[in-house]
Amino acid sequence: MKRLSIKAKVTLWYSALVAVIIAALLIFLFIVSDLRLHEDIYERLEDAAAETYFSTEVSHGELKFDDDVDYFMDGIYISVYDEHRDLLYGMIPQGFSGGDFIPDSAYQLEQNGKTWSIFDEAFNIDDYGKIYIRAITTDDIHSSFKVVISIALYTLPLLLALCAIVGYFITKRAFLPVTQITAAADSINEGKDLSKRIALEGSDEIAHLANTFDQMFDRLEKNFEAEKRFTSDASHELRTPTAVIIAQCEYALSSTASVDEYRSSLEIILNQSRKMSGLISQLLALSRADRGIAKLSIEEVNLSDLCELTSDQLIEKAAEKGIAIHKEIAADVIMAGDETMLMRLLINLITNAITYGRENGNIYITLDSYDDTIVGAVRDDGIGISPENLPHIWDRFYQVDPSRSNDSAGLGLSMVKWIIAAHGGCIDVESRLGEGTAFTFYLTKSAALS
Amino acid sequence: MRILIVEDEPNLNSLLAKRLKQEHYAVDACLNGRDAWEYIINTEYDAIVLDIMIPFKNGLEILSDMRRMNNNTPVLLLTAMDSVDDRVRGLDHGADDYLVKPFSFDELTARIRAMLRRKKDAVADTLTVADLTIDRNSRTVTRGGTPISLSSKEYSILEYLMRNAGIVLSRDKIGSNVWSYDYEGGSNVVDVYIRYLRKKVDDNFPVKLIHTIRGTGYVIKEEK
Repeated sequence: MKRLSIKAKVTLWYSALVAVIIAALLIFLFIVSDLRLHEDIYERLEDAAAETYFSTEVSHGELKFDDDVDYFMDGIYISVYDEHRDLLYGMIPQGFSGGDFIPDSAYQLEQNGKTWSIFDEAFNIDDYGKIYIRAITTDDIHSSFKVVISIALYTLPLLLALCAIVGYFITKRAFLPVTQITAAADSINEGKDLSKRIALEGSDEIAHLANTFDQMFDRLEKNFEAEKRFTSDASHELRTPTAVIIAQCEYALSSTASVDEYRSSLEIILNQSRKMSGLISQLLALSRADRGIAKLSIEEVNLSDLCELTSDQLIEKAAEKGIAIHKEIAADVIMAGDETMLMRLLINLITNAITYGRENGNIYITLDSYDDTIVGAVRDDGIGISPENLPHIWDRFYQVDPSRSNDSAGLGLSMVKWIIAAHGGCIDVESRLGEGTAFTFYLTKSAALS
Repeated sequence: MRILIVEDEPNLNSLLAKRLKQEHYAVDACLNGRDAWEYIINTEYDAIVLDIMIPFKNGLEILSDMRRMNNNTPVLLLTAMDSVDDRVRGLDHGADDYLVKPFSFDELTARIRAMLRRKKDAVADTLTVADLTIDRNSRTVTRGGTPISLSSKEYSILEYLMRNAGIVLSRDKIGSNVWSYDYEGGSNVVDVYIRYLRKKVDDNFPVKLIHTIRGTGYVIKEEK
């Protein structure tokens, strides 16, 4: 049974069911009709016997029968016997060789290949004595049935075969979409072309299935594209520092380099190496986050202190562009989180604000809490982000202005997004071109950690 | 404190890593001798837990190569081979300790602690600079008798500074000792942590212990 296709299986089961139903129906009809018909016959026989009885007359010690009553009527043979079993009146049909009298009963006898329905009854006639009346007729019910059965036996297999064939084609037609789906999925598999879709029309269950598959392919394609892009972007970002290092090394190794130039080359190399190292760490963290295996070490963190100290740390860097940092930090906002990651979050947001801030501009850092919710914001009055770019700033390696490269090479906001999400919080961004950008994040004091 | 685990059975490897991280070590882990060698020659570890039977380069080879290169990082050999000959051979190759599988995890951590105590720059259970004291068993800090509450990373950085009291440590070195390759803080993170430490350890006291040496790094010492 295992190696048959669904279509074959369905057809077989269905045909078997039809056969069983028909057979059961026939048997049922047969039995019921048999009973009813026989009941019918016996009733007629009984009536005939009774009629005969009522038509008797006794005259001069002899039994006389009314002329109205015939001993052969409607196919029923009437025979009347006296108490010595001698025939008084009537006749028995040809082919019937007689049989013992069974008074007050209706029964069937099979003789000489024919079936007889018999009704025997004993009557008492006043002034005469006992008589026995027999009503008998041929029972051709069975022979009719025999004909029906033989017809059925010949036509049933043909009917069944017809059923099976038609059923098979109907099933095949219904399952056609499945074949389509399989073909499409196969071609996607082999060709590794994830952009193909099944695109089945219709609204039944199979179309719905095909639809679901198409949606799944959509998601897969998007994920693969994102991963490919990520890998190529990452490699690209790493290539630049590597190229610088190689160039510096080659120069330093050339015979024309002086000791001072050695020193300067080494410093540049160190700088670039640090950059790469930072990039790789963030990539690692993000890839861990992607795979869902990033682990935070959760502790009680005083977010207020963290904000204060982080902004203090970056005052110098801001001052390089003449940017002033203004803090409005509520005291002792405590939460459960990963201290290093939260620090990273703030550093990235503030560094971003500095990079995209205007000369002699301002950065506003706020932190507050109410009940279990913590609200923080980093706002700058810098160059802002255009509406088209706004949804993309969270993308990895996305840099609105590649010439303004900061240390994180476009990963800063991806990290921010992930860190917020890992702490069960959310972050919004508002920006107006030429006016500035504001990042607002929400966290909870108790661990709402994913 | 940074530890390297070299163990080829993946489940045991990740279990050891997890438990040691719980003990507040920064942990790197690898599954074979080739990777292990790369890690060892590129990173300064405070201790190494090394399985002998590992693919590509076995533990004893790694050990002898290390000692030949004058790398004296304390090494605890971990293995299923427990005959006396095996132990003797392991120790003679330069191991500081030898633990046979199966072992109790508590015993492993105790032996690591003991091994670290015996290290050349031997570190005691408590470290003191002026009136600042840390108890390395309980990971608690007090100054002038007043307890100071530090987060896990803050403590690790302070401990590293105090283990090398009087020695200037660069940001890179501090970062490498407190974080494994898994979680590098990144630029500015060490600086912010130093600020934290200053705030908690120095601010309320007349004598400042944590100093910045511009261009080089940080040092903890009592300025005389």
